[in-house]
Amino acid sequence: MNRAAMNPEQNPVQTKGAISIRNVTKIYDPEGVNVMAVDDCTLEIQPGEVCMVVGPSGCGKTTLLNAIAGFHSVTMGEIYLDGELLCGPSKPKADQGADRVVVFQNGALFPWKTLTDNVAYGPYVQGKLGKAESRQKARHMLAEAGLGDFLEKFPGEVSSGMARRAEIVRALINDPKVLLLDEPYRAMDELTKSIMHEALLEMYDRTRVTLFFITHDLEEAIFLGDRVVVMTTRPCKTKKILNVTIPRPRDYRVLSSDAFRQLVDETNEAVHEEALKAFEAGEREMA
Amino acid sequence: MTTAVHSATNAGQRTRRTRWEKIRQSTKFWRGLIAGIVTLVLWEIGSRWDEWFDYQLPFLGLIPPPSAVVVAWGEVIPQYGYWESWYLSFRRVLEGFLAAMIIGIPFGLLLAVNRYMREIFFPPFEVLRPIPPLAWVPGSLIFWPTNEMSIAFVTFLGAFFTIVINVLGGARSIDIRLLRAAQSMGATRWDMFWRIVLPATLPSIFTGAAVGMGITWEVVLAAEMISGGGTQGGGGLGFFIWNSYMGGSLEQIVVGMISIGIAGYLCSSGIRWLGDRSMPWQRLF
Repeated sequence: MNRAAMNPEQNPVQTKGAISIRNVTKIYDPEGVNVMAVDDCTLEIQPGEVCMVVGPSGCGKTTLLNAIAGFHSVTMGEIYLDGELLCGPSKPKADQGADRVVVFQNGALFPWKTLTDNVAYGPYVQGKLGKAESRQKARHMLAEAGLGDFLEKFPGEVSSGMARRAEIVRALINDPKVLLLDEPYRAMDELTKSIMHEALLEMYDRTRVTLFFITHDLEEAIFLGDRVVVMTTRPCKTKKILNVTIPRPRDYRVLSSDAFRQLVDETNEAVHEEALKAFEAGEREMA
Repeated sequence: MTTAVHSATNAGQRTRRTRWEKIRQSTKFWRGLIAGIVTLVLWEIGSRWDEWFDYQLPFLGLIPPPSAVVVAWGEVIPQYGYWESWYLSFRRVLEGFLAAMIIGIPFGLLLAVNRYMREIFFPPFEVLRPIPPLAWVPGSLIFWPTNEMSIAFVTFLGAFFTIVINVLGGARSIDIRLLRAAQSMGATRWDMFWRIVLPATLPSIFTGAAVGMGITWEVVLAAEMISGGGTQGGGGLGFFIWNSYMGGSLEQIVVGMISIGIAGYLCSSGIRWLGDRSMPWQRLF
């Protein structure tokens, strides 16, 4: 793709979007049954970093994402965004804001709005742009993402891959500091996934927005990420952080390189250990 | 042939076939037409069996044949009373139905978005809901000053509970990811309500309306039969049937019944049309 021909030096250097997660603990307490989802988790994410978070199912990755997004409160610890307190002891729940936009599992485009109206929604409801300008900008950004032929289609009329791309455009139009992605490409076939990855990387090269990306797919994590954070089983804390040194821009040929395979093995080992623990813990709960 | 009809829905593209050609070429149309004709023929033969074979078929033999019904229909069509019955029933249905929509939709949405309202109003609502609208008839005849008002009230009840329960259920089951997505993009409470909650509930609103409309017709007819054709609050298609029964005209009873069928069909088509217009994204499925 022509992305590979681009000069990486031309990419903007990102200065915003640093997330600092400090000793965050989250205890769910439905009817007095304490469930510790996140235990003393600390993680520093650089501005413009692609931070991939992997870990066993139900380990609390999404809890962490929800805390950053402001959907959930934290029990202990603090989260900062560019040095500003999002949530902490004085303010358990972060405000929801368009500086941290979420892309959900299985997609959450509004089915009653066309792709253009979906994308135009953010700037319009925030009052940043008028109706016509927000739609104009939405059309422009969708066309940039290769969706120019589907501007006035409803989400139900396009493929899941296109819908997911539109959803990322819908997030980016708000010019967020951080994009929070919760397994956005789950349940997609490998072929679609690889196209999604290329599109996401292309978008990332253009914007250099910080990505907090949760996934189960280790190859995806290494292919996309600057760092891969392996989480322990519940309660979740950071087990291992791998630096992905493969240079950008990357394309699918990276997948067969030795460096890539080695990283996959390394991650796999760490994740497998935790998955086994999670499995055994599950057995205990069943007994 | 039918698949060609579907592929023609691309935006901007129009098929060259006219509407009538499309209908004429669809198997669905011919199947329906033949089924209708066969039913009428069997009915005619069954009803007239005793004229030819000196034996009356059970049930079917008691019903007037379609040809006699058509003749009876021809007799009532020029009559002012028949059309007045239509008008009265229609007016009552629409009044009760619209009142139920106007009160029921906001009420259902209010219960859905506000926990306190739900906790206060839902229990009594659930106690009143299972009471059949017709059980309200004697009470409302006593309570409301005129027959017309009691019919309107009972009609309203018929649609009201169905609409509220559908709106409530629909609004409560909105995908939380849609709400969160809107919130994280900076939507205010007002935006959330008008641009997310309301459109997301529209399919349930129309389901409630369609079911409610059916119940409204049932209730109106029964209420008209009960209240009779007195000086105030009489008439309507229900009374038309009752009157025919009192007068011993079997043919007219059937005319009344079919008239109600047509009226109900017109109403539900209207709702379907409205639903289709206001929910273009649902047409794809």
